[in-house]
Amino acid sequence: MSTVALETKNLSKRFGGLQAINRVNLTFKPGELRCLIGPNGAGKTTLFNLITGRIKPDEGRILFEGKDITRLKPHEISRLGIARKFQVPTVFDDLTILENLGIAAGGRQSTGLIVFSRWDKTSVLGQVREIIDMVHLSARGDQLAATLSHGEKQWLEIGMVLAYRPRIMLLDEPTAGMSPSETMETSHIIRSVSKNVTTVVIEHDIKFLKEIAENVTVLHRGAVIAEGTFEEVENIALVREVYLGRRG
Amino acid sequence: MVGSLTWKSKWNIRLAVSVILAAMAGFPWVGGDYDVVLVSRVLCFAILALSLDLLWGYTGLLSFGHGAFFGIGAYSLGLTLKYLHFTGNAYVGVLVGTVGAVVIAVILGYFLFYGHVSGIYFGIITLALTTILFSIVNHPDAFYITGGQNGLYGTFLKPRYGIPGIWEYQRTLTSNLANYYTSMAGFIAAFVFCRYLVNSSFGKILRAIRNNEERLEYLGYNVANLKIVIFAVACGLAGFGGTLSVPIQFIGPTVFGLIFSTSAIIWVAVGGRGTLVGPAIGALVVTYVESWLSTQFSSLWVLFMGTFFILVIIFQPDGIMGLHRRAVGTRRLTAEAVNNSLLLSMVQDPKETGDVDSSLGNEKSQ
Repeated sequence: MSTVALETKNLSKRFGGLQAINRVNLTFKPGELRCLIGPNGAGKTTLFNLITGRIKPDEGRILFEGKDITRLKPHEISRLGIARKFQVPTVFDDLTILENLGIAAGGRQSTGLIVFSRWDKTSVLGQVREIIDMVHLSARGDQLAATLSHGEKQWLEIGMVLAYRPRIMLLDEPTAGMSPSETMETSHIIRSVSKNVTTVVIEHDIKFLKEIAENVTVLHRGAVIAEGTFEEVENIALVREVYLGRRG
Repeated sequence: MVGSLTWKSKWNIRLAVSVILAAMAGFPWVGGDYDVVLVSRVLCFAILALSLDLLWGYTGLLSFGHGAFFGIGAYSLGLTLKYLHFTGNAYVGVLVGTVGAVVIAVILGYFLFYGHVSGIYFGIITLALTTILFSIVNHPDAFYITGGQNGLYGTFLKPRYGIPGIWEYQRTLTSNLANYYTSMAGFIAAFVFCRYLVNSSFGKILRAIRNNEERLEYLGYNVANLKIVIFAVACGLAGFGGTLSVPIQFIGPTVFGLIFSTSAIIWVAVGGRGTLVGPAIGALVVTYVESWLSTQFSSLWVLFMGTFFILVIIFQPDGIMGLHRRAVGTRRLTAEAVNNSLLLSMVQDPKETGDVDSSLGNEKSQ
């Protein structure tokens, strides 16, 4: 296994007059748990969009375990094992919770297998049962995802990311809209899973950050302005000014 | 979900299915000639409606030219019977019609879906296909083969089914029983096939495409490929329905007309999208209302049909099956009916309806 899970080299992206991402160099080690923080418009979600192939960079490269993935399509990048949770919880409303997880778990099969496979006859269902317990939805497996609350949809989507068995997971605001106790529970789930999976989390919730952040990267106007543990970046004057100060 | 049904309701469903099958099988012995002929035709239309529903109701792809594939099937069988005279040629024609529709769908689908053509643009291009085929069969140079406006009427031998060389029967314009039961067998086969498909894992993935295809891509699915597969399946099924309509339905350029493809959309909408029984009921009800209105009002009936369709879209967007669902009180599909109203699904680009945040990278905190 490569010593670097994910790497961006001189990554830049411009939207019209806005330099959304400005020569960003980031390195993620295998099994690392990293939080991305920064004020609105800092480029956090744009960075996720670049890594997952949703948008293409103007300059720079993205390497996954040493392989250049900069020009791959979103589904090709996903198939390498990079899974993503969107900022707004994005689940399949017309499917049940079990079916949502089943689709996520079956995602890395080839097209041919997808057309002919039946979940009830594969290991997919067993895998899904494990995860549905973890995200506290086991009692509601046969209900439509449309019936879930905002916070529950967040859990379902986290569950989908887990069911995918990714090498890297990118979680965009996983605790948005959750109560303090749900937020704590989510941080426990993420902590327990992230031992084996490289995890990058975008978060605003300070409690959540204190709870889970081993490493924090601070983005501002598309550039990295600080990296370190939460305690370290918390005390950097510039970070306090552009981000933390505003909240306090 | 079938799995969550109680023992009692499972038996109720079995009873209902048996009653419907018995009614279908017994119908030609009770119904008048006119009705038997009409229902034989409706059974072929119902296959077209079912296949359109796979695309529109289940996957969210509205084709405005789905009738064209029905036409490809009908012309394929007609031309096979016209030019190839050997035992079992009808089966070859059915195969050519079905596979031909699949091949054209794969070629068209490759360019459409890898070119990220979606929403209303997908509808427009499929509509263009019908126009192209209409011009081809109507072209003076093709007259000798396709018969132009006259279609293939009277130029081919009637198809023989059964066991080639051992026990055969012929479908003619007057063989009502043979026509009816052949259509019925084809319809049941198509229905069972669709039922298997929509209940399979692939069927769930189709609904996921309709909900949010972008989410699906980030779970490693090659959505373009999956769309090509379902487009090919649906078009092949439409082609099969077309072959089954020979010779009870006139094989002429009207199958490539706007009205025929629009009718298919109306059948699905009136019956209820996203269900399998709905499109079949829609085809039956609309064909009957149409035939009744046209005898009552020789020229105004088209106007009434149009009004009827508009009223359905506005007041009953989930069709007859929606009424049934409300009466029975099943929740399973009502959520989707409310979420994507019929009109929205016709005009909106799926990309715009997705919940995913805007791609311009604007990050709003909550």
